[in-house]
Amino acid sequence: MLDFKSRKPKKMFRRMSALGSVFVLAVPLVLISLPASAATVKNLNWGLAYGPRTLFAPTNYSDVGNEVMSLIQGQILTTNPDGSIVPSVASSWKKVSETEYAYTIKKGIKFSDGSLLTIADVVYSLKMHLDPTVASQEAALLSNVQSITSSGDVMTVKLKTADSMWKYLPATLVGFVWKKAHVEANLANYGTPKVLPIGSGPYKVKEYTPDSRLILVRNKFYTGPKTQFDQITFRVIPDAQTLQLAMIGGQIDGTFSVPSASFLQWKSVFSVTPVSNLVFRGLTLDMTQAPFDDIHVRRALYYATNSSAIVTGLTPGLGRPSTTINDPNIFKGVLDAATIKAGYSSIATYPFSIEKAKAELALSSVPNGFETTMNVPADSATIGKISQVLVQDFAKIGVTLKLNSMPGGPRFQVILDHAPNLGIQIIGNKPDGPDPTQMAFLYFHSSQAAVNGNNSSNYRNPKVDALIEKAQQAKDVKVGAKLVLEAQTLAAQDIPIIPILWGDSAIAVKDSWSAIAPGAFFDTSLWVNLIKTN
Amino acid sequence: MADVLNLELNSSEPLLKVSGLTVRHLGAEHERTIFSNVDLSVARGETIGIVGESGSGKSMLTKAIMRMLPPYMAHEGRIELDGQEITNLSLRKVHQLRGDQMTLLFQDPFTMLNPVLSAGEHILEALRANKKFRKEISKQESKKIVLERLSEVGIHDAAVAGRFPFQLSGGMRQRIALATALARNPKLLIADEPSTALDNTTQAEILALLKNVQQSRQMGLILVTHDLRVAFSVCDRIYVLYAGSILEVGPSVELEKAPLHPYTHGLLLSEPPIDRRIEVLTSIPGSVPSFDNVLGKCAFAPRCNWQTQVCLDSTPQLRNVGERHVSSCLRLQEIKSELIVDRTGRKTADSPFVNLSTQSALPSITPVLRIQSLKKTFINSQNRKVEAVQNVSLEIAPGECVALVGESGSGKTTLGRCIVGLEVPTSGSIELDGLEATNYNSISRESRAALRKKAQIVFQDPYSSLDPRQTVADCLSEVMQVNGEGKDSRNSRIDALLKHVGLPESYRVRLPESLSGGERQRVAIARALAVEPKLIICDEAVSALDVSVQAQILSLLRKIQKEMGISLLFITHDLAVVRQIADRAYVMKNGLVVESGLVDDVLSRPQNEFTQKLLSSVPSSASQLAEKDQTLLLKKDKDK
Amino acid sequence: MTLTLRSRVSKLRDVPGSVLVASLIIIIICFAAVAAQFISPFNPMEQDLLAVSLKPTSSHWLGSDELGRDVFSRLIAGSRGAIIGPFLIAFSGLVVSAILGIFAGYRGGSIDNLIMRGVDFIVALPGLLLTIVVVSVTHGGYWMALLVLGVLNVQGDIRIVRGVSLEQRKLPYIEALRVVGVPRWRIMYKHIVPNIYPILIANFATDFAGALVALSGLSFLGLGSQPGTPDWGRMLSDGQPSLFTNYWAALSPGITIVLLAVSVNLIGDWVYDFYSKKSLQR
Repeated sequence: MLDFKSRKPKKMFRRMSALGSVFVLAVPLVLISLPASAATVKNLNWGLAYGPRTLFAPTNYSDVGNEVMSLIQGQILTTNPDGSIVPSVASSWKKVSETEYAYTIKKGIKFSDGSLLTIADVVYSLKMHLDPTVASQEAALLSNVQSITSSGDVMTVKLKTADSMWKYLPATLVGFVWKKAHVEANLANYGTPKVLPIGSGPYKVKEYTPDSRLILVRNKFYTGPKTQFDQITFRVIPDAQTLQLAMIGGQIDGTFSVPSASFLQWKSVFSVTPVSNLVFRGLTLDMTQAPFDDIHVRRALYYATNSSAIVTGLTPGLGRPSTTINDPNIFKGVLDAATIKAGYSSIATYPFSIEKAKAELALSSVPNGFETTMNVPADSATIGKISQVLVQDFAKIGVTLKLNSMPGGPRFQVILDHAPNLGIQIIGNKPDGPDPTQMAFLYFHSSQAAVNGNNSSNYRNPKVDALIEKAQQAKDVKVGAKLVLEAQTLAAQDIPIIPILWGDSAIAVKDSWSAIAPGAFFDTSLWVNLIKTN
Repeated sequence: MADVLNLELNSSEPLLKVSGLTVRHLGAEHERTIFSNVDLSVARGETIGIVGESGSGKSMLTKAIMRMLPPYMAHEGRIELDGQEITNLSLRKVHQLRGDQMTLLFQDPFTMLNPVLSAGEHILEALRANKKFRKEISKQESKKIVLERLSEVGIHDAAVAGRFPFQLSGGMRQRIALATALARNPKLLIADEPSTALDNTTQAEILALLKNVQQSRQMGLILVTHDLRVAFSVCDRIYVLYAGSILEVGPSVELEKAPLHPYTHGLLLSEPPIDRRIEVLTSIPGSVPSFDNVLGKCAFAPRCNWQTQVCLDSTPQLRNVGERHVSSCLRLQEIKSELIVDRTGRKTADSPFVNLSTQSALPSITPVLRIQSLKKTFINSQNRKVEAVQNVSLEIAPGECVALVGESGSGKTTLGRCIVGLEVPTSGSIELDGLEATNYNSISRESRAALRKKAQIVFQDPYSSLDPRQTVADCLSEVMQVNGEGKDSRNSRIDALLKHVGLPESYRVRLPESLSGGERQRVAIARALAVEPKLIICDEAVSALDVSVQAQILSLLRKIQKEMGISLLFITHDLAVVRQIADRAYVMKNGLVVESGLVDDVLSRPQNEFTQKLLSSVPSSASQLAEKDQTLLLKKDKDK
Repeated sequence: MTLTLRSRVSKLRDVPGSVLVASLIIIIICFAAVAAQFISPFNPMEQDLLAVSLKPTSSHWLGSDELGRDVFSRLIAGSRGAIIGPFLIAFSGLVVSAILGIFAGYRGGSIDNLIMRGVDFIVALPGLLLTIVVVSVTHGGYWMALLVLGVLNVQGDIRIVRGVSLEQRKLPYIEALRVVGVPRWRIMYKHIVPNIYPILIANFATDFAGALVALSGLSFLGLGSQPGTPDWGRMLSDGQPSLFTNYWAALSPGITIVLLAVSVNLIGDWVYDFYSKKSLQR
């Protein structure tokens, strides 16, 4: 035993020196080979916080899914970095009437298998979302569609009613073009590692391991705008710290998953650009339930919510204190800055003041405060921290806020079920497209104050309902947008929500590179071209 | 010094030569010496005995010779084996020596054998350690060799090779252990109490076997034992070890006839004779001290009857007192004659039992214990019935001492446990002083409490007989308290009890760990006396004690019986003890009483074949051995 | 009684250095728990959103966490929970196992069977998983976590105590006590308990360390303690995002958990060894 022990370190030393010599030999080799390979093949290694579950839009509605699919699939229309909509698979499009749109499809586009993309594929790609056998997660987005027809190289979409949202949809994930024959033959497993999707985008899938990695290589039949990378490797790194280490170590060149709390810290190390994300975070108060049915209580809590401190302390650089449900940036494409500013300045706000909060509470039915419980999703660090700030500040006016840590899914189900008890809820949500009516509808419309609705304030105001409905049916997007501004202002009088912040996300690339700030809906655009490798 | 101790007869170069060996127990605070400056030699073909009571350091001495001391023990001195110095040999080299050159046989063969290896595999395993054997011997041949080795240790049944340790009796296991130890033909065998854990009959067989093997192989043999009788029966020379020092060395014949050290003398006298009853049992007062406690004086002086100032002034050296005979006694020349007188002057007691036994036969007197056709059946782990006691009837009169003799497994202990309610008999009846005591569980609390005052028990192992966390006074007080005695009377009675069992009052606050074995047994007896019982059952109560102490306890029990009129049921395997204490004896075998009667009748004129065999296996002196050897070896084959 | 620990450990030199260090750590943590209000430099709950994830400074010895709270003060405040929870679990394990284990071991028979079948049932449960499920389903929080862990923990103790009681039961001194008529319950609590208590102490120590790690693990997963509570396990997970800004926010509770668990185990081991050695040295 003894002599065996004494021999062991020697062996290890020998092994280590062997390793050392390998390194010594390898370093010059790497130095020589690196510039050569960089000149021939240009790679992008991209970090993802989670892997795309599938590569098929009907079965995967997620940011990450969009980011990957938009590089593979080809879209009818697409979003420019400035947020404007431009044709892609379609050569042009026009609005025939309030309820009819016509799209002319480009000729000679080929899928990555070399076959020709036909108008039948485009029509199928839209129609399949409405096919119950496909059971698309995006079906609701197309619920207003009356018919989709084609003649020659023109596809016509007719809507049931005028819809301000429709204009954007072909540029979202709904607009991805799939190869009809291939999808129909493999519907059950489409977009999984068993059946890799075929698209007309700049890249095709070479290797796909869900939750681990995904490799894209150039699609040689692609004829659209040039892209700079020959190969894109996505690595799934769920842990924020590991992601940061991977960035530092150079295993990845960039990511969209910059943790909101560490934005400033990332910014000091990497090249980080904020991206408007239109996320709203805030509280909803069940107005049908005591003591939240008392406006003095709601106003007191609003006064006691220190949103500016939360933003500077918890999401520094990636958020702004909010005043209502919609981020003003969503109006940017439609309205001029002055109109937006006017619309937002008319919204009633109650800036942080413990004295005023106390005074307000004194007028209420519970002048000495009360105790209530708030569900907190265990998986969201940001919401957890915001909640703790609220606990401390609410306590100062005599309101005891108890936090009930719950898994995220069941937590959201409480909101959808409107049961067993809504009370005070902390929410975070963002619109699916650049249409301000959506968020207003979800949180202020009385039809959502029911089971499976998002209106967890149970807010019911016929005037607000009417404004939102009018906005949804407005023929002119500008008119609609103004109606939403009006609805927001009107709702704010009743304080159904306590706004906290509008959150942004960020695109981070390694220090020697840079990235152009994209629009809010960059995830379904050719985002790789935003990166400048210099 | 060294030349004084080179006592071996024939060879110029001894097989084993130990000089100036000292072993210390290392500890951060209390380093203590286990034994010091021991010189010892074994010639080729010689058998020496190391005799000492517990605490003398004899086991550590063998471990030191085998170089098997635990890491916290340090040794110094010189050990030479077959001309090679091994004192500071590396452990790896010593490992090679063990088995090839010297080997060790332990007391308990069960712990020495691997429970998952069969008997044959044990021997093979030992053989295989030899490289040559591994390479050159085929499977067939090795099987043959194993059988040869087994027959050498007296096992002629080939099937035994395939059995596992738990399927073998204690004697058989010790034989297998011996065959394993001998497998690689060592030159020196050290046997550490090889027969102590065995029954008398088996013990005699194993000792005869050891002697036989030693002689046929001309091997060196060191027999370590506490039992002088065992040493006399086997050894050529005997080293007497006491508190870490050697007090006397001499040929066993001479040592037996005329010991030249008061300690050896005392030990011999404490050994109760089997053939007659001694009026006053000799014992050595006190118990074995540790080496460090008797530093700078004669180690035995504190317990010695002949101690003078001279004995306390310096550590005595061994000096020649005869041919090949050394002793460390400083006053030997002055007291030599006294020792002889003392030895021959022991009086045989009158037979005290005649009137008692006739009393017990009188029907008018209620016996203290009456057992009628008692049966006890156990279900063992293999779900088989084991009839521990089958149909035993027994009676004890008031004030009588009855011995229950038998080997292990004879059911004598089970019988004793039934009497005090630790076991419930399967059938039959027990009556204690006229009270029904068959099943303690089925009677009322009051009658149970009454029964507790009738019979008490004293166990064999003094070390586990007392609660290690309770002082002597607490222990006795508790017994009285549960029997409803008031605090004041308890207090005074504790003193009385301690006095009764020969312990000073200062022992009240002692914990068991600070008591010697004999003292603990005294406390256990005091605890039994505390309830003022009519009967005390002594279950091998003196078997675990050193000889010098055993006599003390026997005297105490005699005194209790005589002065307090308490009956004793003395359960033992030791016939010499029976002779010294009992009035009547029952001999048990396999759960049945095979012979009973007055002790003198049973021991002097045994009727039953089994009793005769028991008597014949009592170890006897070297001079008597030669004839017995032959008969035993013949018998052994018949038994297997 | 001359057998108390204090009388035996007359000299500190007899105690191994590791045990002394471990005792010192436990004393410090206990002191922090008792005197938290007086020694913590800041209010452990007070947030300062303008000073989040600060590196250690002369006033904030371990810097601040993600909500700008003083990490050192939170560490001190957390020591209370880190001691009380595991202590309750270990102590209830001690008491319950002493009662049921000794009863089962000493009485044997049908009572033994009943208790041990119950124990077998608990053994068959997937421990930590069950705790996570129960705590998250019932929203029971900290006390529910304590209860579930306590129940799950006790089975091992009962087994061990039953085993050693069975051993004791066969010893002559117990049989002698039965024969002199000492009542069963008195034998159990006056004789068996004192003789097996090194085992009880060793159990207590392992239970304590195990419970500390388990509770911290639950808190780390966001179960058990309330969000915002200065709980070491929760601090460990909350401090994770600031690993690159103030790694002390995550490192310090991790270190204290390990230190406390190891210290308790060391002392338990030593006490057990100490008594076992004593009983061997007759």
